[in-house]
Amino acid sequence: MDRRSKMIDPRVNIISERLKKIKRILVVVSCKGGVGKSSFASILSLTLSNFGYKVGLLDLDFFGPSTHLILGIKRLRFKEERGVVPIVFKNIKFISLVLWAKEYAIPFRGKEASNAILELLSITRWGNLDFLIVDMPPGIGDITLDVLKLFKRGEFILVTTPSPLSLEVIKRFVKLLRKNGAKIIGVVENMRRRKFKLKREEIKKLKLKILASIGFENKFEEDLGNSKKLMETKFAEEVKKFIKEHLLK
Amino acid sequence: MHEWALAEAVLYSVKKRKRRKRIEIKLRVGEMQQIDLKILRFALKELAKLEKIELRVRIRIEKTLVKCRVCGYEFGVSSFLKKLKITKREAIHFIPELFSAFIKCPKCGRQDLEIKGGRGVWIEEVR
Repeated sequence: MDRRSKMIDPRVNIISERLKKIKRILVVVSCKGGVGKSSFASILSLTLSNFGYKVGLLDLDFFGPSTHLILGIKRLRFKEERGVVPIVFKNIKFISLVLWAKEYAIPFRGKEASNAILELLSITRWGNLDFLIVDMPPGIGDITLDVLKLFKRGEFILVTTPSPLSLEVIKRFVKLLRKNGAKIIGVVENMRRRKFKLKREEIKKLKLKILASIGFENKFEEDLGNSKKLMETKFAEEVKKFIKEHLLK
Repeated sequence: MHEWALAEAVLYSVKKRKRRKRIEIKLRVGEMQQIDLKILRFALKELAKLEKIELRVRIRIEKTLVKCRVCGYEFGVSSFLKKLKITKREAIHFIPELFSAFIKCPKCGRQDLEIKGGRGVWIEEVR
């Protein structure tokens, strides 16, 4: 027997301690990239913070971290105090691998990504939070499987566009998430256009709620990086509605 | 200090396994993470004191071995770590896997690297 298999990895045990003062963990996922998942995670964090909640945002999209860009976080320096103290931006506690990797691409395979998540979760001191928002990479890969294992209280929000291609992918994705024990609170439809939206009856068949339906906004991309302007978008309006109608009930 | 967070994790794991006033642990610490052993020992002892545990700590350093997944070349990292700027060494100290963002295979130049050994902190024995 490999001696290493008898050894204890101390990181695994401490993670539950690090997360115990967090009331709710919302995991934002998508089947594909470019659907607005990170924008949703970022604006959700901003809005909850504006409502007076204590919020953390954890960017686990190692391959395309973007929440710091969406929010316009320029100063990427964290503090150390018996562990890593998240940086605070607009009262949101923020952690992303970019705090260390900066402008370098992160060439991780599954094993490396899993180790990086264990490391991040075991050394970060979140403290008391009402919500921890987790921005995930698209699809189901090692990181999603790790999150399913480590965030037992995770509540999944699936962000998608209304593309007819989405539905088939969503069905497979939801089946797989549920098989692996995920609690999915619903679907956020993004970039909806007048005649172009998700088939409601199909979503209902999957026993899913549509939590928000966000219309396509031409100007939205221009506001990325400016958290004040982002909060004035229709996107942010829909996120506020989602929070009041679904999250705080 | 990051070492304090690691010490907390070690002590938490140890307490789960042995509820005694006197505990002896043997740790294996990987070279890659550049852990300050003095601080780690101090943190372990101080945290153990708070729990009224008499803790004896033995630490062994494991040399890091990296393998290139493309050409199969295996190499140690000490000379690479010494040449890196402090900000990159610090990044690796916190998240060892980030080494592959900053280091290339010395043989083929690719960045598809795997740590075969000498990574992280492991509890080898608890008595």
